[in-house]
Amino acid sequence: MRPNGARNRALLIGTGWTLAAVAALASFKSSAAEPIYLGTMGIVALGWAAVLLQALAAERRAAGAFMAAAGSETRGVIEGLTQAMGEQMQRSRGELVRVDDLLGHAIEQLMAAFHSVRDQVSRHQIELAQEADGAQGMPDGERLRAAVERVASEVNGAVTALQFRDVVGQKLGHVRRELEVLEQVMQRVRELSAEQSNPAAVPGQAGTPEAELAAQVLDLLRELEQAKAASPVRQELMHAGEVDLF
Amino acid sequence: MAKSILAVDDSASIRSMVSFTLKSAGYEVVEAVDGVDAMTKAKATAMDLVLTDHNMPRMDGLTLVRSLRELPGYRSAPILILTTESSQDMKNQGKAAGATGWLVKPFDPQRLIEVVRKVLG
Repeated sequence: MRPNGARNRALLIGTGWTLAAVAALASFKSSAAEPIYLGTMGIVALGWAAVLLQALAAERRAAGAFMAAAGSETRGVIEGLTQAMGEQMQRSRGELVRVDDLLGHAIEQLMAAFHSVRDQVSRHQIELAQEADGAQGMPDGERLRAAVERVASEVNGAVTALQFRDVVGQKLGHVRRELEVLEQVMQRVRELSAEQSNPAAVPGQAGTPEAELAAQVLDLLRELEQAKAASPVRQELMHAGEVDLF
Repeated sequence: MAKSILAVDDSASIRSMVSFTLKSAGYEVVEAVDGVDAMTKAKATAMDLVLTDHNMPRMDGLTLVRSLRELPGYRSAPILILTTESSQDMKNQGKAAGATGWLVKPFDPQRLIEVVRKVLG
């Protein structure tokens, strides 16, 4: 028969972790205008893995052959879950590298075409400016001068907008780093799950694997936050940035 | 004689845009892919101005500024940082390292030319 105390404890801990995951998600969403799906995936997975680990620890306290078998099944679920998450993250990182490469190739072609266009526009700008000077005071001269200014302004705007590749590239790089950290988290959860099966452990006391588990999972969550905070890219729109001269 | 500018950035597209913008304004531009490459080129040829990114492999922009300031030819040469970093803390670090100015990406070509003209006197 399944002990109610252990089940209730697992339920309480599970609720706690779910709330922690929701809070972490809210933090991700409010503090950074970045894609939150990766953080979401990792934190929810981590939260659930922790729930299962805590349930496992509670079950171990109940002891008995039946509970030992149930604990073994739970560990299997954790390992399967974290393994699948780790593999998915690896695939996602590979996809991001391919997206970055495609983007780089596309922007190279775009830049080559743009340089050619800009060369020709520059030549025409000079000719137009000369014609406008020659026709000073005449309606055609003013119209040409306005056209020259408009073209120059549009070209400058295009150069500013084309820098999106650099910003996007840095953001992709940052997401890849976050995924790497999440993979490490999944790996650590698998290791912790294995450690929990150590029969010599004395549960419920400070310094036991169960207490260490909570501290280590919190450390991993902090690592995730640090990986997120490490991104230098804050731009949300492709407006020209500020200039400070010292 | 055209003034020479060393444009340092690990992003080929940004180097290309900076180079194109400055060349169209009449400057001679030499490109470097990171701080180490920039130091080699700065030692080989005396540049009138250095425009560098901050986040780069091998040697970042602030380290490059500090290293350049130790070279006799670059103690008073203008060095501008062009980066996606926009925090005041980073700008303060740039100032302390010896940078002349801090420009946040994406840059506006016309504004970049104005700033370069201003710091080159």
